Amino acid sequence: MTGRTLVICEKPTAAKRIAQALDDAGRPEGHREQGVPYYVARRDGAELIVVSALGHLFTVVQKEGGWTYPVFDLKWAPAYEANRSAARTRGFIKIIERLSEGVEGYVSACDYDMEGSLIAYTILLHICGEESLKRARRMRYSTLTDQDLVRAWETMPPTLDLPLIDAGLARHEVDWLFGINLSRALTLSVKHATGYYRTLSSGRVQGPTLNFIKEREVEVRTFVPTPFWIVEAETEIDGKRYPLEYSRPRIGTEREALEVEAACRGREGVITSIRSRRHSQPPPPPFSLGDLQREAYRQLRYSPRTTLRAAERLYLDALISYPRTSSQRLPPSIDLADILRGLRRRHAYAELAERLLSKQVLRPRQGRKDDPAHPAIYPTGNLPGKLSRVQSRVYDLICRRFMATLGDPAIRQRMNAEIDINGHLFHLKGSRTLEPGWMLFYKPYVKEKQIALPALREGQVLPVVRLEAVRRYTKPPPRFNPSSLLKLMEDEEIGTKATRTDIIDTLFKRGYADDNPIRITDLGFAIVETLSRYCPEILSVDMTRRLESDLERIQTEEVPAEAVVHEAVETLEPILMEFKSKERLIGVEINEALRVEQLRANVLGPCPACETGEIRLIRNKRTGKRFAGCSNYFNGSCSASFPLPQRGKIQATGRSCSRCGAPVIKVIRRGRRPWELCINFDCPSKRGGGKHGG
Amino acid sequence: MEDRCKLCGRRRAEGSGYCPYHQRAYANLREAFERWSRALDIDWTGFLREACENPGTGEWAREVAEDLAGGGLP
Repeated sequence: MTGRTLVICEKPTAAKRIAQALDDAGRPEGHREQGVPYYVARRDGAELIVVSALGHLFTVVQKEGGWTYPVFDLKWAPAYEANRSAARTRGFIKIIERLSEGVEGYVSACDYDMEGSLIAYTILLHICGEESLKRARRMRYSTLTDQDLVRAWETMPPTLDLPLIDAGLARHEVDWLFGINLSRALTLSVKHATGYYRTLSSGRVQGPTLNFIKEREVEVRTFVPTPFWIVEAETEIDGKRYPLEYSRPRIGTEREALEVEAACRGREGVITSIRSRRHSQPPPPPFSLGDLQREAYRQLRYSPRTTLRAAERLYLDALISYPRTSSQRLPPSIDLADILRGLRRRHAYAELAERLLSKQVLRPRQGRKDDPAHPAIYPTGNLPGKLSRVQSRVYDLICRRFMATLGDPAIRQRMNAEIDINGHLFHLKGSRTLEPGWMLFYKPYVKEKQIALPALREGQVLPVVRLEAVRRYTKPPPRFNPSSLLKLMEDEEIGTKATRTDIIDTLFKRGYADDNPIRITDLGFAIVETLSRYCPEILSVDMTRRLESDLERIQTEEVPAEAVVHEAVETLEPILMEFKSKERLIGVEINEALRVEQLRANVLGPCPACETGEIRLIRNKRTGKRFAGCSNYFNGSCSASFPLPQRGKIQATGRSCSRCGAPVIKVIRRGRRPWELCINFDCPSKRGGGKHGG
Repeated sequence: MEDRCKLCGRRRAEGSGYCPYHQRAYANLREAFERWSRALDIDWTGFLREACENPGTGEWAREVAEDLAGGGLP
């Protein structure tokens, strides 16, 4: 490649890394115009202008017409025209336009996935002109290390990845069609029925996801426990107590349970057989994004969104490979020994990496899932600089998991002594690790269950020091947490690894769901009920899964993109017409839920003065200022009132102050850590700066 | 408000005094009672009392159990 080449990157941090990697001297010229950075690198006598996008610079918008529905005419336009929060993209478009003048060749160097390919494509098409597409090539890389970037440059295919781009265009258009039409339909139904404006939304994946939460909530709220019995027993050997497990883990009736209890209580047990079995526990597979998010939630309680953000930062710092991957496999092209040599430089991993490097062969455990674009997540071996606490812990999890996948299987031993107590079979079970294998590398994230048993022999008589039949109850299914909901979306094949986290976030942002474990709100219920009554297809997993599969078939060139977009329009049109015909009815129903939600949101807690009223958030109609007052004020029986902070969002905590009994509220202000305070200005806790003192 | 569920104000299920959710809770209570009466010696009133007191009973199932215990009809 000679002459000037425009290299398009996805984010400014990536642009800097790519420019440094491709510049012969590793020192590209850095420039900044109107706050937009770009770099000039020189490689083999050619000049590379490395520019950055800011994620998507172009987006789907309505072609013409007002804020109504149905809308099926769409076009791609600059993101700043569609969204005020994308105002910064205007500068990027302007600078790229100027820098693309007189350029001979183009390179798409955005993250190698559908979104990355689409970002570069829309820039080329809408800024550099259609001609540029014929002279554009695609860099394919999985890490932002110099080595990987240079290899990607040298092995670039001569064209853009057009099937992937087509699939990306269709996905954005289909999602826009569903999102804009359903959201407007819901919002306008309330507006037209009541005159009240409130942003409501639904979408192709959002509807079925909300329906999962609703279905689980209904299961929990209608659950009735059923009793069963377990027989709990203990023996004592050399002064130490050991639990005995009855051979039937659950007994269905009280009569049977009491019979077992009566037959065994006060008797001795006799060991009839002792079995010991060794088994091998293979290492875990390397992380896909979903695996990483689940493990980070399980081990560190990080939400999928927090983990994804941390992983993306680590990727941009060239510390890990591209995190948005479905793969659980590490291909042979990855130099595992080199990565371990890199990790060895870190004190925490030195000994572990050395152990692995001393192995004759490094063979990672491979998982079942594969991703044609990227391998599983792995560390690059580069030394990290300063990391935040979250980034540091996610990085540690990835490094230890990577090393664990290269470890040997763990060898565990299980022991089981069968004990006869008056004709009833009990078990005394133990387990221990004989060879830790991979577990050594995955500490502290692996918890080994160790139950050491004393020396036992067949025929040995054991005292039964405790035995009783205990009543237990079946439990309702657990509510979803962000991690288990993400897993269900993955299993049901709705959404993509790039969109699922955002969809869950939107459900919270719209007020359809809250809390953790996730609960559906009254508004969420109203939305699902309305959609299921008037357009149940929108909640159907089958419909969204079918569309998902069609979108994937565009990538393999089995279906043309236009056909899939057309199918989406055909699906939506009758649904929207039906919705429109019942719009006012729907609006009234949703508004009822909104009203209840608003009333609930305004209740801060019980009144400490009269103890019968509720302290509510009230706004002074004249001044617009807010304060808290008792609901009994209106019947003249209580006049308790409290001043409130005038800025930020106020949330009830459901707790009362331990000193004065007034409600404790949470105040959330942008850019500040939320804080809690007792609303009583004269609360004794505030003298001397008590913890509710604000 | 006659077409509304007496426990939550939602639209009533056909042929029932409850909405579809409370109706489902009622059906679950009936099914559970079958299992309870096989498991131990208990009558309908005793079962409803147990269901009301059990912390694992869902909110809607408890509301229905309380309604039935107070002489309400489904």
